[in-house]
Amino acid sequence: MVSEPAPAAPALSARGLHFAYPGGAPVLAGLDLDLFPGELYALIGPNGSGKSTLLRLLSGALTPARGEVRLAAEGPLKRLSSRQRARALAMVPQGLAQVPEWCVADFVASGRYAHLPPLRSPSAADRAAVAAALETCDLSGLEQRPLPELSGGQRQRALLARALVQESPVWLVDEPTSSLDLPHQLATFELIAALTCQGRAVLTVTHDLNLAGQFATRLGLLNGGRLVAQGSAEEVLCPAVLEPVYGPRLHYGRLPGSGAPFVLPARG
Amino acid sequence: MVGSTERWSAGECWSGLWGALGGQPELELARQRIFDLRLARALTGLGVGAALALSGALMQGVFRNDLASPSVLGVSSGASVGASLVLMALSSGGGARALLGAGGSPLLVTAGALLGALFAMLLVASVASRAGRISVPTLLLLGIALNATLGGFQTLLHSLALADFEVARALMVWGFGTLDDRLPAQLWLLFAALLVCAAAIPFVAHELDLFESGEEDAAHLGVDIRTIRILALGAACLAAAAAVAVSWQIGFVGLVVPHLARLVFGRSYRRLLPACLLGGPALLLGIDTLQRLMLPKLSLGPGVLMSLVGGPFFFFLLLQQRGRLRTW
Repeated sequence: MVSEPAPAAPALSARGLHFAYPGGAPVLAGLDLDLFPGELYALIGPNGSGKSTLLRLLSGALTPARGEVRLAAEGPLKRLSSRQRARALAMVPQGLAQVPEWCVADFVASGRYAHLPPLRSPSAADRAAVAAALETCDLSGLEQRPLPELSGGQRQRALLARALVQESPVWLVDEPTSSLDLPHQLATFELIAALTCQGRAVLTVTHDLNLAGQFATRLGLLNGGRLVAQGSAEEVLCPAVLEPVYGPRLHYGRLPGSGAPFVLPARG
Repeated sequence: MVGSTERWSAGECWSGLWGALGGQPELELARQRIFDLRLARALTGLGVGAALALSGALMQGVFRNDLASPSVLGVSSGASVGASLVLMALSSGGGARALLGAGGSPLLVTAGALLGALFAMLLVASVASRAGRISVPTLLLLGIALNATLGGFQTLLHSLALADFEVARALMVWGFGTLDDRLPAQLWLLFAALLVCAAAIPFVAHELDLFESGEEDAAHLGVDIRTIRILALGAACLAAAAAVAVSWQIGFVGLVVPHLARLVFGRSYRRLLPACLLGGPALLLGIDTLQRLMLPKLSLGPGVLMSLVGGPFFFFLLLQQRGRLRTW
């Protein structure tokens, strides 16, 4: 895919992010990142490169030691109330710390929390948003199914549907395809790509360079807490950029048809 | 006499209630007095049961552990030590009589209990603060450590109190978990505290439901984790302290009632918390009535039978959770 000209104002921007876990070495040291409306930004990098930490800093779950995360409309992230932040920014986690024993419809509806005034029950508009999200994420007919009974793919779609009803312009998605089979990986990225067409800014952390190469408008390669490369799939998925990070045992090629670059681990 | 099982006709009860509410007395004075005492006992049971059950359910919601309750976590022990300290400090000025129902400062005793409960809760929360959730082994170890330490402290206070027979006797009677002979001021305090805690329910119930998928996830949905934790645990401490200040430790109500309520009303805290306000009194008054029917000669508080029933119940819950060892 060809990288689009970046619009003027980023939906989310991080400047000079520094972070270290208590007693540990610095994970990030002065990281800058911009996320623009309508783009799907894939954050790639080896294990331990700081991807998940960066995602948690961008979502507000962690506070940077120095530096700042800003949202285009709302200003600095740390000044927002929890509800304001949830309306501006949706986080799709890789999984849940605990899978609650709710039905799918209730789980998806929990995404409306930030839109409900305190002590108020869901309105007709809230219910309509939930129904639409269930439809979009192909969960119709599973509304009353308990969450623990869902397959990995269905659970991933339920997480996406819940984020959808948050109606946030910025999405942060953590490894959406890590537990999915190949068709579901493709379907998940298709769904996320469709969301960006509606003007959302989506940043996804992924280990799947090939899906990132096919769907992302921009890729960022994180290594040792620094963004060592940023650009289109052609610019990032090439030996000059990847070899210093992933080593030499990679095979590079292009997909027939779309011509998108791909990378495979190769023996020997 | 108050604890006796003598039967009253429905008509007599209505007359007594009318008299207690300030209407024209229809019963003879002595009989009306007995009714008043019985009514106070029932109201005490109602308030204590509701407070303990609500306290347990709130703790279970915040720590996401169905075994949490004021007695298991040591919060009731903290409240007892706090209240005992205040009582001993007041003992020269008639503090013992505050317990026996002849005067004193129930407000100070309740405040002491609240401070003790908050102290114990701060210790628990500081251990839990990293992940929010308390695992079963952590919960049990915390409970053992706190209950043993505070229990030892309580014994020390009892020993010191032996010098004054009245204070020692008061602490002893209080320690039975009795519902008898409470002062009107104590009842007012209990229900005022309960009202404050119940008023917190609409502000935390939905949020505690969202805690079920983890605190970080709830925060991403817009839940103000810190505020909800402070509000829910503050209410849990106040409810436990108010109950302990009135009838000392009645164990396991806060554990058993939320568990039974979950079986009937499901896991949602929006139904569970109000259900505990009704289930707590039902269980405690039921146990109290049962005990008086079974052992009419013994003037025991419901705390004794509650422990005899609640202990095995806790053991049963532990056995049930054994299958989930891998997720602990």
